[in-house]
Amino acid sequence: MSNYRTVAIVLVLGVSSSAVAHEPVFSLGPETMWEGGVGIEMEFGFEDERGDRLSGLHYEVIYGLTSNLSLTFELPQILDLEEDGETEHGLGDIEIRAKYQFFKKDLPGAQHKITGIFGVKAPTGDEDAEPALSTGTTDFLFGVSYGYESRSWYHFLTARYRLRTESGGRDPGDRLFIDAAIGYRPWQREYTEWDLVMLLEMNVEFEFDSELRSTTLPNVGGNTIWLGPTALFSPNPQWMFKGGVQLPVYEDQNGDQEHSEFRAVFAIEFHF
Amino acid sequence: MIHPNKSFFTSFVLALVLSPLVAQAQVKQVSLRVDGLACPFCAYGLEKKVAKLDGYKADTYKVKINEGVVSLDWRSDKPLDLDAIDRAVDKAGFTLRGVTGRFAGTLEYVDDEYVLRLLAPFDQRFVLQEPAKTGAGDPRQESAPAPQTPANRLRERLESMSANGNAVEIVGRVHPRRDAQSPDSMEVSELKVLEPPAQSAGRFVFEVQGLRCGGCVAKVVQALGSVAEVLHVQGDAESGRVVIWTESKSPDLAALEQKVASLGFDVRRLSATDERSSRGTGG
Repeated sequence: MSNYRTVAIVLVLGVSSSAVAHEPVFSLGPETMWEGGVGIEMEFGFEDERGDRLSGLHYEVIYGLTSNLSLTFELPQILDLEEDGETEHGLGDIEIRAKYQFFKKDLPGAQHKITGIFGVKAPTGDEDAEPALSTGTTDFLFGVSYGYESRSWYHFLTARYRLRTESGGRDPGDRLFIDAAIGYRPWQREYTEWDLVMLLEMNVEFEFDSELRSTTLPNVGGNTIWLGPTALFSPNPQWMFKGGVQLPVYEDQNGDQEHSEFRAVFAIEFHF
Repeated sequence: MIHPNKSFFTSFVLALVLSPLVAQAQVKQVSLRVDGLACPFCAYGLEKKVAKLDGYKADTYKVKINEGVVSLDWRSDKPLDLDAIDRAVDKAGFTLRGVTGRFAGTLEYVDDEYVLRLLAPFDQRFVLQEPAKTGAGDPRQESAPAPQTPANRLRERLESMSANGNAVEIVGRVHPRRDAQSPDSMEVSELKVLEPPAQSAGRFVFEVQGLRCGGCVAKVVQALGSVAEVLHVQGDAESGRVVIWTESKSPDLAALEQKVASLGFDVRRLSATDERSSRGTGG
């Protein structure tokens, strides 16, 4: 049972971020890289579940095949996973994602865009560790994201569905994410100057029932709504520092589960 | 494809006109109106793509995010490639709305149209047009100032300034050709006959036989203007004279005469005495 809670907490970190540019940091947005552009991101994430903690780093490389098609490789490193008094650390499950921007409308100082998202997560982490560093399953991610970006305002709306496959008699429940964010740039600064955008992000997360050898697990799954602010600061056009904190403003968990206290992300992005 | 937007260049005409002249530069400065520019971080990809343009002069990239305008200097030995600029902006993830530039060239009157032929070792021409009216379809442009060249006056102005064949400088918005046979076109916003540079080391006068029309003058001005050490050229069909201003006191005059001769004209350099005496006889 505790293994399932571990899986859930690993997944929270695994899908919460990896943003590009001014995307929400707890979601995925419609941003793609310019053709031939490379972005490197390192992200530190933390989540506390009343005594059980997870902290980890994500290393991410994004490459623009064309201006509307980007590929991302993501490697999580669990720094400290503590559960029921046991601690573990190591590499987690790698994920490869593609984003295809199939709609874009450019306006003076603004963009509308819609992007399709597809990803595959492979169980490369240590599933036998205590607690486990992998979900042990090959998961697929499908999503679509709309974004509006202007000199002053940002709006994002993203839907993601993580299809989790069966493995070793375990059938973890799929997850559905509905993410919304609104952002504002208080100072409209020029190209070589620093730039700051503030976002308010809301993430609605549904985790469906999980089964172990065809038996539904009572203490796994449920719904959570997260809400919190995010700041994205770029000191120059190549570097960006971003961070955010979210609180679970609504939780409806199945059975008897620990409740999350908060989660936080801090990331550094560099592109060239 | 460049998406039309009627009057982006009107905001930048003054800045372009007030920029210092650069001798021997044919496409002197280029401004791109780019839609979709919302943040400095995103605009970095645009710099990367623009920097790879064949004619981009290094370290001249500037962007005004709040105005959606990118400005850069263009290399004098490279033609302005509108398609390449359009592709570069597209690959960066944005939309090119228009290209404005400051150009030096000679005026030619061909098939009832005025054409600007760049002073360059390559052949690039623009059919000159009246500036389009501002404001159409773009709410942001409704209060934009009217272009400085009044509508329907370009032809009269071109005819009255006796610029045919001589070097001129034009600020205008360029449009890609409609088909492979036609040249690119340019909405003229500012136009002036280029004056001789104040700091030239040498001035030489040639008498050219057969210099009877603006087209002939343009050919000779083009040929001499494309020589690196020649700072400025003026020609006059009526007197049959061509005057050049050079960087050095002793340029290779024989090579310059040969360049004119290769166009089929008999050419003779006038000494200062010849020049004074011919002036005295009204020649």
